[in-house]
Amino acid sequence: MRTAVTLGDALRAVAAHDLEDAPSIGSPLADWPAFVAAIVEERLTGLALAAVARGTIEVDEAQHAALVAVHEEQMALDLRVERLMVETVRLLADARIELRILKGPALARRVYPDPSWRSFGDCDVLVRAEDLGRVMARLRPLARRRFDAPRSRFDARFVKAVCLETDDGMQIDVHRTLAPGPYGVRIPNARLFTDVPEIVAVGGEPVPCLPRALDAVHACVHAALGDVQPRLNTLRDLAQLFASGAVAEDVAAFAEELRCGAVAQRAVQLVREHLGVELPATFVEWAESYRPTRRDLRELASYRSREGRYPAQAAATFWALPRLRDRVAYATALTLPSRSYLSGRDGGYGRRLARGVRLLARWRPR
Amino acid sequence: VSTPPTADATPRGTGRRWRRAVGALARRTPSSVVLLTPALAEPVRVRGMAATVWDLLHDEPTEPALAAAVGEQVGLAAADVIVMVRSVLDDLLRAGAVERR
Repeated sequence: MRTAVTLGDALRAVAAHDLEDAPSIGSPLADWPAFVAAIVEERLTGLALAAVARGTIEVDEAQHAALVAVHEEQMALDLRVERLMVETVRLLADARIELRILKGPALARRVYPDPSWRSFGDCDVLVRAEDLGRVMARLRPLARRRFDAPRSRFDARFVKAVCLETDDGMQIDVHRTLAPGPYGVRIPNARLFTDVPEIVAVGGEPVPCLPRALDAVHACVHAALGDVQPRLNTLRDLAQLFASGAVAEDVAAFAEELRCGAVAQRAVQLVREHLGVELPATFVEWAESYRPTRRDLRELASYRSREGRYPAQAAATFWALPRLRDRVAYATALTLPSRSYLSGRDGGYGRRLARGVRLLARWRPR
Repeated sequence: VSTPPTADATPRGTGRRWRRAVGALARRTPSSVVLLTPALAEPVRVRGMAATVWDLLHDEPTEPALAAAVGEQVGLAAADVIVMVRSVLDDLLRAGAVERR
């Protein structure tokens, strides 16, 4: 009698499907409802069906039909997001605003063998910091921002991304940089636009994306600094970028230039642990030979803080800002924000100020 | 995208080729094609012969060639499926998913 496979093994086999040395399971799943829920949550329905078709995962007829049904729902969402992306690109291109589409919608058709293998839920667009105000105005017919900025000029100087929402609940994240917190400070906005973009055609529209090596660094950043439990499709993106031609030396060079060595090292570990595959040896050797500095370790810790990730990242960002006047502006904006920003958030000015002072002391470089 | 076949079997524009519209967004699933075009408010799923037609449009066939290819897949002569193929093409055309060259 065969042993039923665990949820973790099944997810690993799905997320790594078609990669070299990907694990294969061929046995019945121990907990089918939990598997479907996780596949939907991780947006891995396309890879799951591809794995089933290859015999990597064994399902019965009813289970297959159920998988197809959730996959069709996800495909409908993917297309709605793609249409939103095309409209966003058109509006910004007409105004001669430079942009790069990030993550799923930029990768699905460009680096995956089948776009249905990479699903997504929103549209992420990177713009130049100085264009953020124009972008907001230009996209107003399409979507409106969900939250006010703490202070004027905060977006252009400090924000990671401004979240916009359409009337039907779709989301556009307009990015100034690739990471929240102190690592966002390390990645200069202007540097993300100096290389020639890769173009992918979607709905007849040329969609500019980051160069593949920079996409790979972004995937490292997202995997290592994002959710505490990393999203499997982010880890798959990293492996897929290498599988589709990202050059290990180029990725390492970008990561080094952007001072993301510790992040790349963490991403290599996460791919190994959660996908059960190895990234190209040249990249792994480079990443594992990196010796994190005390600053690396302190800043990385702010993304895993028990005090709450966002307050800890904000405090670590303060100390990462290179100029005193930036630190003052940043601290002022977060401790004494506009009343519209404060409404609906925890505490008043006094409480924010006290909390800010405590966090700055806790995350001060030593 | 499914209406009863209404077209007749008389050849029309037989030399013109059909192709997927440039602005159409699509995903293939094991049992359907999910489509979204500028003419559609929401994504639609097409199944059966319509999905087969969509797949075959990859090669930008003429209508007779498309009917022959569909017929081959279902084990019928082109003449037996041409009306249904034409109906599918009309539906896809109305949805903005295909265009004629």
